[in-house]
Amino acid sequence: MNHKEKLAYSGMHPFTVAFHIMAQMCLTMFILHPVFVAITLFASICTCIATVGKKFLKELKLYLPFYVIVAIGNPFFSHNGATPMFFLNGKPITYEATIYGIVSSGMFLSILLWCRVWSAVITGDKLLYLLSKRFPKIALVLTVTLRMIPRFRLKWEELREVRSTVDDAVDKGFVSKAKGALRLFSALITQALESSMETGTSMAARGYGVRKRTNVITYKFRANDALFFSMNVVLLATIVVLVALGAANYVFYPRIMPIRGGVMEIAVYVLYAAQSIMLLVKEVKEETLWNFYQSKI
Amino acid sequence: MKAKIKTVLSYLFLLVLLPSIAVGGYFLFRERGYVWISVAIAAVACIPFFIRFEKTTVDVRRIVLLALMTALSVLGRLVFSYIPHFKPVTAVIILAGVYLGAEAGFLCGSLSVLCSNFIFGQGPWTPFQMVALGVIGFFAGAFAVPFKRRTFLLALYGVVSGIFYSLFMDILTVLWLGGGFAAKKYLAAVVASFPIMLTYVISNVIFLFILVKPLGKKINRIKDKYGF
Repeated sequence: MNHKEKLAYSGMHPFTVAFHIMAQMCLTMFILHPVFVAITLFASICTCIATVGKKFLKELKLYLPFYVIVAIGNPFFSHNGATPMFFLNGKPITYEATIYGIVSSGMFLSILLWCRVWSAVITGDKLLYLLSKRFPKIALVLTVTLRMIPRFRLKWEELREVRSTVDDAVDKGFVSKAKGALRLFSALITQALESSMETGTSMAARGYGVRKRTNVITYKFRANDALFFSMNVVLLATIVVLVALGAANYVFYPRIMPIRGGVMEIAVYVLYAAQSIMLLVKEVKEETLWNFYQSKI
Repeated sequence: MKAKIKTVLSYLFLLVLLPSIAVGGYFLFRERGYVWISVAIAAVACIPFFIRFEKTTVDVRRIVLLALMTALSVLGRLVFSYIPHFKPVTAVIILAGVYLGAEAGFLCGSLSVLCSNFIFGQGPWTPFQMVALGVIGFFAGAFAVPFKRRTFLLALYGVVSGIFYSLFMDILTVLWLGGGFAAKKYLAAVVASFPIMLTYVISNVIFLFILVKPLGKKINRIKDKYGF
């Protein structure tokens, strides 16, 4: 287990974390409003750095160009809006379309980053745990699949080594290499099929399907989870009500609406920010505590 | 009886869920909604297959066989990850459909996407790929009899499924760029992704020809040997 895996989210119940990220993704895609997008984008970047680690900055270099192109490209395709900045081939490049492009591509990028957080936090085993409640057989298929992949790789190496000891098995050129690989693959299939039958028979003999399946890894829904979850639900409900009342209404066309700063708007910004950084706060808090206790030892 | 009511309820739930996603999504998002609505519908469309699989009592050995085919297609995506779009994934899924049945074909397709995206990254494209490859596996199973008899027809199906997959994913490309769906934009996306479509078609045909013997024959043999 590496250091990162020990931290906050791994101690939490997967349902709590999955619910939070799902809710955050939904909110992000529902609300196209510059302030909201800025908040969720900032939060998603920070959470990515906290959960994915240094690797994330390298990945960001791959993501970013596409979104920059979409952001800049929008005014060249969409000529809505009332404030032309300049004309290109007789068509207006408008201020509104530029802002719309930037905000909407920020939203798309943020969704992608929340997906990245999901991949980092809800690992395969956690998704299996969540699935196994409602879809035990699907979870079983996925478990067996995930186990088979590394086993096949090992078996392939083993077969290759055995084959390399045979004299006439030296592969020269593309065709003979391909043929050799195909022969190995064929052997691998035979072996895998036979062993999978053995697995199946053995499972049946041990009484698979006789009773309800239990899990090896079990997560307990602790007081911490209850606190996190209820905070999440309250925040989400309040935000949804305020948004339904029109706190996040925003119009880009024909003219950009000024960002309102009434009491309700400020309140919803703050609540939205709180909702967005929940996971980050949990993560940073646990990490600080971990380092603090470690420094005492 | 209780199980039956549960099944009926879950199907009813879907019947209500699908239109409400479409209508609700439209009212919430207006013209920005297409991409999220279609992703949500794609995700929900997989659920009936999963429920059906949960309800039926299947031989454990069939489940393990399904897992084996899924693992093979994931492994195929891993091994060929350095050649873009040239993958044996679809070929393995088609063979799973042909030799294990339509339902197993759908599950193999959708689960291998779910599984391999743990490695290659989950995202809004996951439900789309799940449905596309699932449908390819399903119809391979539906036409299993002629496909088993004539390898030529199987190869033809490989061509069709390559084209279908590319066209289906182009829908997401267009929706992802925003601004709604328009025939002109879609046509542009199809033209832009034509080389990719060609790669899919060629790789499907090649891998089907290569794999049909070692995989198909051996699965048949195993089924005869263990009797299921």
